Amino acid sequence: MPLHLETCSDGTYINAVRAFNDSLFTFPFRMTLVRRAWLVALIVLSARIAVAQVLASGSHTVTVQVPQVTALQIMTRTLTMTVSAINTQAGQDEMTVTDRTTQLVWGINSSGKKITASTSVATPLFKLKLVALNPTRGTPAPEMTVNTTPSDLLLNVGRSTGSCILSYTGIALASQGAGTDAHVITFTVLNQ
Amino acid sequence: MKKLLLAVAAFAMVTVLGETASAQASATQILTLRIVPIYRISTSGPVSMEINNATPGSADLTAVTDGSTTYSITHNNAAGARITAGLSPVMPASTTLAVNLASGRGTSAGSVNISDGTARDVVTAITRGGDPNRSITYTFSATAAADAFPASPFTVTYTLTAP
Repeated sequence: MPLHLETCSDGTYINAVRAFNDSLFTFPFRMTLVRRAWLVALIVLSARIAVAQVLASGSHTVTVQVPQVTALQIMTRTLTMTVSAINTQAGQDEMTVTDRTTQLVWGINSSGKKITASTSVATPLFKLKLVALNPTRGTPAPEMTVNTTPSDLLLNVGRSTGSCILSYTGIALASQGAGTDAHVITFTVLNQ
Repeated sequence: MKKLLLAVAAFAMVTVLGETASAQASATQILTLRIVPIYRISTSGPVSMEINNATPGSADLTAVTDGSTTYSITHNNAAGARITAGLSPVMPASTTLAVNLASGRGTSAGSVNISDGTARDVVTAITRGGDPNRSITYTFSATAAADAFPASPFTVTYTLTAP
């Protein structure tokens, strides 16, 4: 006799068990009734476990923590500006050279931030001015003379990613003579 | 309970310090600002002069002068600089071209004859800096022995150079 040990809303499953159970009586091998019962019970038990796994559910808590992150990058690390006869006008004592090839890029996820700039040279031979041009975010500060005290370059750059062009202007007087200033310019994100 | 409070306080402090550290970022750029020795000079112009008169009985034709042009200089040599003037081509026989440059930073040589084309000092001991719009005065003279010649271009070359 076929065994009917399980009922389930899934008709497919029941039909499969029934078909297998029926097949035991037409199988070429002669199996005892006890062996048949064990075999069917084993199959049904396995199926129940599988059904139980499908129907079970669980949960766990995932916490995503985002700390304050600030990132600054300068696209050109080394820059040389030369005041030469090309950018000097005869008759003028003041000689200037301008460079706008450098980009400053930032990524900040907290509000109330600004970017400052300072130089490592305490007493430069020549004046160096800096202003941020075309910032994609934030407000550029007025052109500043770079010195060892950090001065504002960009304001209101919190919670943004963006970039700006760094416009450097070197100003020298012919009456000061020739020479070289080697600056290390430091850009820093600070609370505004 | 006390240990728990201490642990909570320590955790909070570490968290705050960590956020402060990560809230600031900096980047550096190496910028070299260099000024090389510079000599710049420019002039206004051009100048046109014509001798067309003479005093009866004089062996010389009446010379003409022109002070309508200027020169400007800038140099940054601590040792000073000088200006030389040369002429090309040379002046025809019995004619003379002299030039006098005023200076605010150097010593003018006064009226200098440059007719033979040889470059000569016209301003010396020029201290470094800018000196704009100083006058250039040309004097064109000739004797009665000079042949007439049509309007011809002459080039005066001024050179600002180290002393």
